[in-house]
Amino acid sequence: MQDILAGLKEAVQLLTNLDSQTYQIIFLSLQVSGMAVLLSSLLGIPLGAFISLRNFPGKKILMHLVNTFMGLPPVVIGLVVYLFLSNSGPLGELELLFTPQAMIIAQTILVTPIIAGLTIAALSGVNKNIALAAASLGANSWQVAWTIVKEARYGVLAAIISGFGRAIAEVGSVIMVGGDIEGSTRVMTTAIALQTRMGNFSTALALGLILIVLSFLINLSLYHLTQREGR
Amino acid sequence: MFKKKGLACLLTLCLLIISLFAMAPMAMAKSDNHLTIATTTSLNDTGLLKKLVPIFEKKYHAQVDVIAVGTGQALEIARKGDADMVMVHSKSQEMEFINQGYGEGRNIFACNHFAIVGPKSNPAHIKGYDLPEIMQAIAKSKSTFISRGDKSGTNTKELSLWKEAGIQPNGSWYLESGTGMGATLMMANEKKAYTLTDKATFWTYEGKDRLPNLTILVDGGKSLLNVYSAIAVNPNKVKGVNYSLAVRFIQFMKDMDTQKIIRNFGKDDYGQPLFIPKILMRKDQLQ
Amino acid sequence: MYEIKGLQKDYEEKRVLDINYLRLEKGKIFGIIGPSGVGKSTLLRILNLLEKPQQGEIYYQGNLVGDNEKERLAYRRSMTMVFQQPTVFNTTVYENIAYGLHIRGERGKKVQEKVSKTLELLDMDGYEKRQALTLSGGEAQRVCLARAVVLDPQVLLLDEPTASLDPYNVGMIEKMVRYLNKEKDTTVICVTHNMFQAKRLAHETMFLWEGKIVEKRATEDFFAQPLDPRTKAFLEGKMIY
Repeated sequence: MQDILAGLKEAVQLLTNLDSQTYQIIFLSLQVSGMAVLLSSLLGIPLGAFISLRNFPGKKILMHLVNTFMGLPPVVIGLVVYLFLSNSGPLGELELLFTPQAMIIAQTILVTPIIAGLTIAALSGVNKNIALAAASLGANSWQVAWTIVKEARYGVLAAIISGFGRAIAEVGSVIMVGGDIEGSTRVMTTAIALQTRMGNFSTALALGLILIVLSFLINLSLYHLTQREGR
Repeated sequence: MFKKKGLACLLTLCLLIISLFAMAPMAMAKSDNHLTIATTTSLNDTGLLKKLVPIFEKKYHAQVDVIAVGTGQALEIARKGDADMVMVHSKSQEMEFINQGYGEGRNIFACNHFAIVGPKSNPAHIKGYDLPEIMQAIAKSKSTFISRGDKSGTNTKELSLWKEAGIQPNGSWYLESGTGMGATLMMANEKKAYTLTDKATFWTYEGKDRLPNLTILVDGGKSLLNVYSAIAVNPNKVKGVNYSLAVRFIQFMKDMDTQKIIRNFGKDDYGQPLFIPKILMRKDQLQ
Repeated sequence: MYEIKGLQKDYEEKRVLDINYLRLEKGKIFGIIGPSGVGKSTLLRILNLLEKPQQGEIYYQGNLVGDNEKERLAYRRSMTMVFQQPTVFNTTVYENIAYGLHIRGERGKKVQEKVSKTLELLDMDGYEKRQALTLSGGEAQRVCLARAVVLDPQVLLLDEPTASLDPYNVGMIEKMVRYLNKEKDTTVICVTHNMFQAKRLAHETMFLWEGKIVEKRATEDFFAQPLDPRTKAFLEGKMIY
């Protein structure tokens, strides 16, 4: 209805007027979530590979833990990270609270289980004979693991994309550890929450629309990168 | 083929890492001229701080971060030393904060009045300024009342009104929403219910035609007084707070120039000012 | 080449392999026949160090294959295996065949040359850029063979490599096996269900029954006059198992 149409119009206006506040918010969102996904991938993919490919006591329990943490509410993560980074908390010395770095930390904790869990799923879908074939061609165990990850690369990529989607769209954890400070820790989702609370629905929708379009473009370019292999 | 893909990945990676370093200076900014204020969303959303903070920042070459959350959360953040001062409007919670040793003292800088809004049909037939009578009328008629239920300044005032009227609000007519003021008003509008609100939020939403079913029924009076105060966190109790800058900001709030700005704030947008600055508050209002 | 002593392998309480002594000379093509599920593939996998036996010693070129990881890897890299099901990697034909070379650290022009030569031998010129998963069964199996032989292995292990292929592909693969054995002196151990194939390829054939090597002789003699009655029964299709 009215608000939605007004939102569409405002979205175009915000972008074309090169409104510096809007662009700052967009940029920070991409920085924070982008960095978080990068770190989560560096942690989550090897973790997922390790759990999936090796046998060790407690493997099943660890898998259940990963699956559980995939569904952790962002608000809870935000609260826990806040308590750690707080002045009165164990890591207060670092003075990281209410900074983008704190937001990256919180989102990394949020996204790593997701990437790990989906990596596990992707890797277990790989034909068991691949590992045998690789080994018979002379691969050592690291090389076999890497080969299996490469076989599952589309699944792993989907894991990363899922992780990014989760990060860029969440507000619960970044608002707690970032504080939604104008000019330094305000991102798209916290700005949308603020605009909504203030009753500026069309602005909130406009920002939401920009967020969706942004996600779409990023997904598109990620898939395009993989298309080159003729898939 | 591989080269192009690899190049794109490398480029993105470099961009991310560069931007991370670009963000680093922000973390280093915590120094002597950095102040963190924890305040309530309703105060922040009026835009008053947005107007005053830059003036302070310029005058004292300071950097001020404003964290707007619920009253309870603001005070908790201050207890943990993650804020150097608070600006809230909930006397009972403020006194608790001070009695626990976390705050130095209340520095009132402004006030305004809450309002009771409700359906135009006014089923409980409330009028006048006798709040205990009004609250009893609402309870007796079991007219729907929406409460914030979140220990916010508004919620604290609402609960004190029930207490003064000798009523424990309970029953299917009393709904606790747990959402912000704007969302609560919209809920009251939907359900044609009564609620307590600050006027700024009400005027904002009314101005956007979102509250066609509601109108202001009780517009002021002593019981609906809403007093804003600033409290510096006690450096003897909480380590690492920027006490001197907090004191300076509190003084700034009481400066004549600042008080003048507060007196006129909101006239353009709402037709009348949103606050009564301290200099204009009567003795009996300074509570 | 190989001396296997006291090899025992169990799967869930069942003894699948029980070979007291087996000797395989260098440079020959060996055929292993026997009923399904009797341990033939397991034997190959154990030789390739893809599985561990409960007991037993393997001597390769006179040296015991021990527990040292480095030695085991070096040993494993001197042989390759082609499995019954063609398991190609989800990438191009070129990448598949170059896999073993890349693993060993080889790059560049040399690799390209080796790959195209191998493709030529298997009548797959110009297949480099094709996606391996789009190939037919026969083509895929040829790719699997290609990636195994491009490494110039000392030993080539074949586990029913042509089981589901048409005569053309069967012929191509056998041609390659013979070429390797003749030109490069590669030792070949081939598990097969196809008696004709064994007769065509193998210098010596052995019969594996209930985990034991029942008979092992020169192929001609093996088929013409099997000494053991069980071998005879199997070859005549009269064995019930």
